[in-house]
Amino acid sequence: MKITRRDVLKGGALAAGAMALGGPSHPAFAQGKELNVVGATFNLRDVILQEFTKRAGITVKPWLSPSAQARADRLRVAPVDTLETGADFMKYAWDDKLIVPIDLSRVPNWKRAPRLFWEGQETPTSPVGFGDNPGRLMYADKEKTKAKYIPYMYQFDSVGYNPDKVPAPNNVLSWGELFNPKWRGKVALYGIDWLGILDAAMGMQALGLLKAKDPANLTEKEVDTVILFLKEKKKEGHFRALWKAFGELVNLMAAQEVWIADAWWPVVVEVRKKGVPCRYAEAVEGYRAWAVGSCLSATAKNIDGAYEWFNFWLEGFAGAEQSKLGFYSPVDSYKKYLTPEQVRELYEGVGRDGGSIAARNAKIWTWNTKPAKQEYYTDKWNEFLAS
Amino acid sequence: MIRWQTRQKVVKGALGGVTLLFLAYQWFPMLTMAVLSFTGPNGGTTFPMQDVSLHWYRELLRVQMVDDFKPPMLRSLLLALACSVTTAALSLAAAQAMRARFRGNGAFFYLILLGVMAPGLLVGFGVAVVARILGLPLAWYTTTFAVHIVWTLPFGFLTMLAAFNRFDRRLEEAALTLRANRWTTFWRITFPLVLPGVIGAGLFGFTLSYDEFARSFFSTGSEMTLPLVIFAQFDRQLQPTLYAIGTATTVISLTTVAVFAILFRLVRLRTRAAVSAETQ
Amino acid sequence: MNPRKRSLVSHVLALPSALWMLGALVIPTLFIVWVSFWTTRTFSLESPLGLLNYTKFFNRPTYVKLLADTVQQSLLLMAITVVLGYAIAYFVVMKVRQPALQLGLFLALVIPFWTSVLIRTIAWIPFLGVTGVINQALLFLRVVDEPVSVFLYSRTGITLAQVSFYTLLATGPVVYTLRNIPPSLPEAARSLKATPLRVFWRITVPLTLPGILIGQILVFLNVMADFATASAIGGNKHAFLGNIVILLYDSGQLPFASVIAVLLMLCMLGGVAALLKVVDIRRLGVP
Repeated sequence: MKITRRDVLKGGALAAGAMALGGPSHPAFAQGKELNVVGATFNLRDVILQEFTKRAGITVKPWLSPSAQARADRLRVAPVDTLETGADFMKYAWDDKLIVPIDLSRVPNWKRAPRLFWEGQETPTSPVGFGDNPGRLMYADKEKTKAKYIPYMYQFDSVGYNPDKVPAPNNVLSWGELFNPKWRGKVALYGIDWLGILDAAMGMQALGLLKAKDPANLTEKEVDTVILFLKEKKKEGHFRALWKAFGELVNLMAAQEVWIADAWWPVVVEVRKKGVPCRYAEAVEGYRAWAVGSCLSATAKNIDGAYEWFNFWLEGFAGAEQSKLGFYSPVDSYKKYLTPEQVRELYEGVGRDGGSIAARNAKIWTWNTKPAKQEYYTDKWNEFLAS
Repeated sequence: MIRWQTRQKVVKGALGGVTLLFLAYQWFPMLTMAVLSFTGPNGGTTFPMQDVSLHWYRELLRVQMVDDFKPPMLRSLLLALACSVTTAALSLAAAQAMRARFRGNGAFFYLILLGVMAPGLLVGFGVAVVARILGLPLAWYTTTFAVHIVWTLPFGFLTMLAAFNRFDRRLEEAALTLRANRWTTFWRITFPLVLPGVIGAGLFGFTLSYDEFARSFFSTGSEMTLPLVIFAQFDRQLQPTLYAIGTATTVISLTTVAVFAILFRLVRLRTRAAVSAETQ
Repeated sequence: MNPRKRSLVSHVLALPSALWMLGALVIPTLFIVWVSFWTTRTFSLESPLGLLNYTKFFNRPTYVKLLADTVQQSLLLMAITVVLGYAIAYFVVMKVRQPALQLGLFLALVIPFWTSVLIRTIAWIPFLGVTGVINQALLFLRVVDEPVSVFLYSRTGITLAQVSFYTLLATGPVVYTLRNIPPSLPEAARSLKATPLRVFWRITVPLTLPGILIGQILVFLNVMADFATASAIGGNKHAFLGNIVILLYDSGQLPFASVIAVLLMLCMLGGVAALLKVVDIRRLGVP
């Protein structure tokens, strides 16, 4: 990059201004060395950030929050280079023009992503999955040369349970098991409206209590049905707690306050580490999947750094590290960094609940979704909380 | 006579019992936390406890990029100290002003109380948006500091109102008749009498700022305060490192207080010795 | 000093605080009020304004119920803390003779607050939960056969935790006003053969009423605005207006969240004004 005299003058003026203000803004010439990233602690992990800094010579300045909304809103109020989020909030950020398209020709590894992320279906006959399907939503143009975000980790949520308390033949459970009255007082459900209602809808659909065409985008009448059912269950004391963050659910299951919940595989891993039995069921009806990735902020200053960041995530090191926690990487570059046994266990399903990644890719029932009737969802959910 | 005394004793016992129960209630979670902070590497923030080790204290000391608690701890500490002093000073001034029932003091009262009434998250968001519009950069020592004072000032102010509540003006007037000027009167008579209130306001300023996270959420820059970093941890397993922090903070506070108490004692003994030496 | 000059000095003393609040609080609050009148769904600074969100609030019985619930919880906490707070304050100020012990008790009450409230909230779970300390003790002492689950993730649990966090707010101001009572007053009363109970009700309490009231204002405001305790200890199952603001924000409904915030603030304002009618704590000095 050619540095012109103007740049130096601009940089100098900015530096003087910054020093006068004593403020945190950095002179323009140092911006190549910093990357402002907004994300959460389950992906912006120390080991990954250290490696990136080592390789790229760019210091990552993370802003962390467990609230997906807050992460997106951060782009409104502070200078941010990239936003790490899922397809649901990527949609939100895109609609509000907080992010801009990513040029896929600069992210060569994306070509190696499975068909699931190019067409939205792993095979032409596997279910598309209701809701915000990244493979269908992430491209900014018909030719698929530009993406709204680069997914670099994905997972399938199912029912997590304590096998000592909840019997499950062959580790297969239905989503409806969440509402089995036998587990009254020992159940946890996701506590944020769009996801709690979605999981409840899935459970009710499995039990035949609901006949929704699209469980991820319920009509108002269908939401009413779900909430009525949830209110009944709450009155019966069915739910021990609602969980909003990974750490909360781990605590709940490790303390055995909760025996069954809608969970992520990594939760199961953590609970087991604490000596409490926990398994992740193969859902009869299929999984709820989600994919988190990186978006380019509309106000990004270090665009080159951002592309290095995107490429780093698909290069394999980060993918391998996340895989060890139980997340999946869409690009198989992680193979470089994992032993063959690890690959067999984590991706091919040997000795792992739920089977191989291929099997899971083909069994997606719904995706994490920000529903069209979001406001109605929230109102009814608040009713549920108030009851 | 005897009945009155036993009744007094009973009352004292009852009140003492209530106080001690309450103290136990406050401290039991702290003790639980202290015990669990020594759990092994696989332990979590709940029982059952796995092994006993210093693992989490070592984790706390380890330098990390993301989960490092030490810089945020330092920032929160500095911020809290600044808030403490500022709150004490502003509360004292504001309460002193209220004594004169100046014009607009009713509105002033509500203006200060507004700090507790406005919900933290939205205030922080509002500050961030306004700062964006004005082109002000967000940082923990500017925007966050401003927002913290907004939160702590009402507490300090109300405390000072309590301290000044039955303040006897005649003491000041007596000093004035002895030809002390207003300034001397304030510092020599008024201030020492309301000092407990000032200390209370300072304590509020410190404690509330150190703990604050709803307002800080949006108003910090990329360098976060301790509560924000802890809150971010909810997305991972909640590790006993948090308990190590809590236990360490308590131990450090107790030690600091003990050191101050000893120093205070020493100074007292010294001045007493000096005084008695002089009077001999 | 003539009244004019006194007023000027007061204005000067009040100025820094007023300016600070105006700049750092009033402006963001006005922003919140402005946002509450937005009629668009998306975040847009050019949104047309209207009463849409307010009508929505009052048309839904849920939200009115939540308002009532929140006020009810505040009143409950006020009732508990007024008694508990006064008892503790009375004990520490009047019944403890040695100043060292007084200081020690005071510190013992305050030091837990120097540990982040988030950490303490997490520590409550191994304390109140089914595998927690209380339940282990109850099981050990054979008071119960099975762990009691109502301490945690319930309204009871929330109240228990709030009592722990907010009682000190009620204690503090009472301590200051208790100390300001000249000991000659109760002594005089006693010499006139008044029973200790009478002394308490007719002298001590009225003199400390401002302190009680300040404490109650603090408790009221804090419980009304509370969201962290209700969320963490309540297991996210229960909602008060403070949580609802956050929930609405989290689902992208900033204007509606602002409406709740504005109505919450108005309630708090009304509550404080009502409490001030009992004792006007703005009047300082011996009458």
